[in-house]
Amino acid sequence: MIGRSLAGVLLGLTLAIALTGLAVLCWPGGSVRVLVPAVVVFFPLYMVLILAAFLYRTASRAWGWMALANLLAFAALWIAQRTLQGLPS
Amino acid sequence: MKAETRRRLTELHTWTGLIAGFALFIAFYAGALSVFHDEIDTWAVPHPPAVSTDLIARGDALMAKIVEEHPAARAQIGMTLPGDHPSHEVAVYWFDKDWHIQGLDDAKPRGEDDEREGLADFVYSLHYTLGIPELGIYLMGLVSIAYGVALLSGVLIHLPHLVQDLFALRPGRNLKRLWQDAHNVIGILSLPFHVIFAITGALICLMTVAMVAFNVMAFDGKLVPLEDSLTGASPTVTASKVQAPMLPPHVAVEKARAVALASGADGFDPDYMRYLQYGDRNAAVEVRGRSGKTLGEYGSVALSAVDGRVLGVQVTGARDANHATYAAIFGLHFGTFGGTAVKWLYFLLGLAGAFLFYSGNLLYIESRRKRRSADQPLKVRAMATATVGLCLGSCAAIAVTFCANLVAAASGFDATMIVKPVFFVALAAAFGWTLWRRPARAAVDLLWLTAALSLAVAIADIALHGLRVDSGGAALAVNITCIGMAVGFASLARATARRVQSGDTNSVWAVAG
Repeated sequence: MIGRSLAGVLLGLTLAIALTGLAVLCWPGGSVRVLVPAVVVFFPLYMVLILAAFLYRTASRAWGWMALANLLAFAALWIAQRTLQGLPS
Repeated sequence: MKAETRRRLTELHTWTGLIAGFALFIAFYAGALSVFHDEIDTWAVPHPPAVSTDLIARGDALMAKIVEEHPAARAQIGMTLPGDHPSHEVAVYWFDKDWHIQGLDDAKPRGEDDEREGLADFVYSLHYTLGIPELGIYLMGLVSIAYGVALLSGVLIHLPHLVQDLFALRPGRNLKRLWQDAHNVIGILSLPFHVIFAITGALICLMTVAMVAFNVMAFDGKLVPLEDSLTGASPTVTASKVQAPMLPPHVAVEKARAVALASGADGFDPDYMRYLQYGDRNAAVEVRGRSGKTLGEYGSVALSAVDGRVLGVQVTGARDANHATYAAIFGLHFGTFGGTAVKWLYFLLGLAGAFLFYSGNLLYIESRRKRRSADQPLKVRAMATATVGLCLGSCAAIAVTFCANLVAAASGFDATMIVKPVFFVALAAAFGWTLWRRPARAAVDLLWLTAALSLAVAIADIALHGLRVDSGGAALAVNITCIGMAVGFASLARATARRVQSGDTNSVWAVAG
């Protein structure tokens, strides 16, 4: 219970940020235009990811898959930050 | 869904409900009342001091004085505009490392958390902070997230039986079944409303925190500098260091209104304005106001603070996705998009929400009840005590606070000094009473007390001040609602008393012996 909760609360948080951040950076027609909608989407996504940690058969599976998803999402985010236009500075 | 998964989701639902349920009960009860914040405020201040007509001009003078004394305030200084309920304060807000506030009649500025709260403002702050200064709002943000998870898991658990049980409410010997049905039917029928609140509640409490997290983790520090432009209408302003006289507030407000109407907004009722780079040739002035016939009523117009040139318009019909979404978050949460009928709907759904959390706790107790013993396990007794002491206790404490406000106002005391302490003393007393009398008797006592106080406060108000037709019906509506609430609490008290007298004796709800 604790293991799964922590996986959802911690890894779900970073994953939700990475995924919404990625969607914003890839948004056709300019990232700035969808910043507030992205933050709105972030919260239900985070809630869903916390719940998702409870759908795995064991806590270690939840940690493993969510860590892997984080790794992929942050790798994609890293590439997107360096190749796409990003936010104006 | 596998039985194992369903069991885990049930456990998640129970725990998130336990963690968030009490805070949510208070938030929903106080929130339902706060739908009528302005009406309660009108009721609570029966003889409002005369409002002078030169408020905006005095605000203008105060801003000029403040930027002289605090040059850092030039970057951002604004004022709330006159409003139409009595404790609405016209005050100057500025940023100098921290937010500072100075009302027109204040001798010196105060900090952001040092807001004097009348009855309506206190009930509202109870709604989103539980009365906890500074950290309360973030706590409620976390509670909103737990609430969202509880909703999701609740729907998933109930999903296999959702359609067939939708209109099932089975009274009878099986109390757990009855409470389960009631919990499910309220939860499912008001689900869209709960989805809105879980998301907008989390957003309103945690938006700035989320922005900082995104700024660091996803956007290389480029998000925070943009934040103002996502919610306001003004572009970023840089000071030229050349001084210029400022457009006075009343001129800026009128100009902004004209610009908003010309952009297609249905009305524009300004409630806040601010200067950016006050006193500089590049300064901007931004006016925020409310329009009708839109989901998100708030919009803003930015003008040059020197010549009144339009710098940006973000009002309904003329705004981008960021501003439309931002305004919609508040519109959906506060129910300001549809007039009186929607406000009553929000009030009733708010009370139904409070009932949802209360029934969740009752369900916890009923499903862990020892059926063959008068002695109940500690966790069941503790849950019953906490549910009665905190949930019914806060209903009673709010009723006590309404009475205290009436007494204070009638005897010339400043009610803003007493409402908060009275509420917390009353809540502590209610909790102590629950510990002493045990939950079964205390529930009946507290429900009768709430009913009696609600009735008494309405009658006393009418006796002292008459029907107060001059308040546009607001005070009368509050009094009638108080009487309605008294009837509701009295019927709950009778039902609970019946349960205590004649229900199954092997329960925390029975009086032993």
